[in-house]
Amino acid sequence: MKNQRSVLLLEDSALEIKKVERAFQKLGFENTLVSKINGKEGLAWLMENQDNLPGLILLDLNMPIMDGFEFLEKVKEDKVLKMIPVVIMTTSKHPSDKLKGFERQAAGYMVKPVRYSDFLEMLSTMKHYWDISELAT
Amino acid sequence: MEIIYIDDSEFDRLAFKRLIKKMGLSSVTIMESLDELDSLNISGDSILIRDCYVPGKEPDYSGFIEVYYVSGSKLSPSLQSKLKIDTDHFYLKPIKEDDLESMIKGTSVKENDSSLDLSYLDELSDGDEDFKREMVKVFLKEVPDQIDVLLDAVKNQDFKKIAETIHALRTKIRTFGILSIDELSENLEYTAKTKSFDSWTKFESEVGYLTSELKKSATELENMI
Repeated sequence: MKNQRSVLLLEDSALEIKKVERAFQKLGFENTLVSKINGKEGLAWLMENQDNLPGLILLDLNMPIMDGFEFLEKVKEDKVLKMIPVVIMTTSKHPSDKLKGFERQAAGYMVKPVRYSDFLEMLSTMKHYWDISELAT
Repeated sequence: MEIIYIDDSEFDRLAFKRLIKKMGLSSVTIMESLDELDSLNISGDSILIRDCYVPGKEPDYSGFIEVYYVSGSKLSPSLQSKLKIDTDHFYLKPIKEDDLESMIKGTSVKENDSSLDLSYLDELSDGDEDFKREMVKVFLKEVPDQIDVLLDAVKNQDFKKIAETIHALRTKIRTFGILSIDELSENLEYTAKTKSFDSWTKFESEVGYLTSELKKSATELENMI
């Protein structure tokens, strides 16, 4: 992938982190994957890395301390952070969770376990988005 | 070997009679209710085949070498838990010749006895056995603790914790294809989250079934690594 922005993964399950790492490896994405185990840690990392913000946030909903929805609300309230696309990855197929996600401006909603093909589709869309953003600037 | 068949459906009793005639079996007793068992002298090598919903008082099963359950519909987790049915001791009606043969032999000829569908893990690992083993190790390390947390939360009726723990278990249930509890886990999480219990006893028993299936899967996975 030409664009080397990092990807922030917010996930508290070791199994899920391994799966995303594996998908990146398998699909040949060389972008750095940064993982944090809850929304609070994720926000703190974003604040510390204002000059090098990720190009994408992959967000689990059910996390301790600060859950996914709360994190998403805080990100979308921030003038700079709100530009980062956030894709929700959750086991919940419940329409109300999906609606809640999109109401909070999530860029996508994926039901776990996520298959390679779904990852590929989502990451390709993001790459396209990054390319367009670069052309525009 | 004596075969005892109990079913309150006349149609199914007739179908069973036809099957045993076809298979040339002779030591067979067919009854309509569990209560009729009291009148029988059960020998130590009898097999009991019974419909899940047959009327009568649940008997003492000592004296039977095996007890098999049959039903016209798929086995529900609550019924499985209530009657303590092993999945390999359950058959869908109409009973086929192969089914009856496997009951008599005491071994199942079902194609796949595994409680796991590892196709997703296989896709993810793509032949990398080390990666697969790593994933299994995470399951074996985390699931027993999560079961303890869940049972504690049920004991304390801590609904938030119950929902959170089942949610955390669900990614594992899906990753390791524990299909028997996939839908159940989703329903239990939703019930705990919304506190919409029809019956707390039923909820407890379904959590019991969920944890027993997880333990069974853990044993199966342990043998894999």
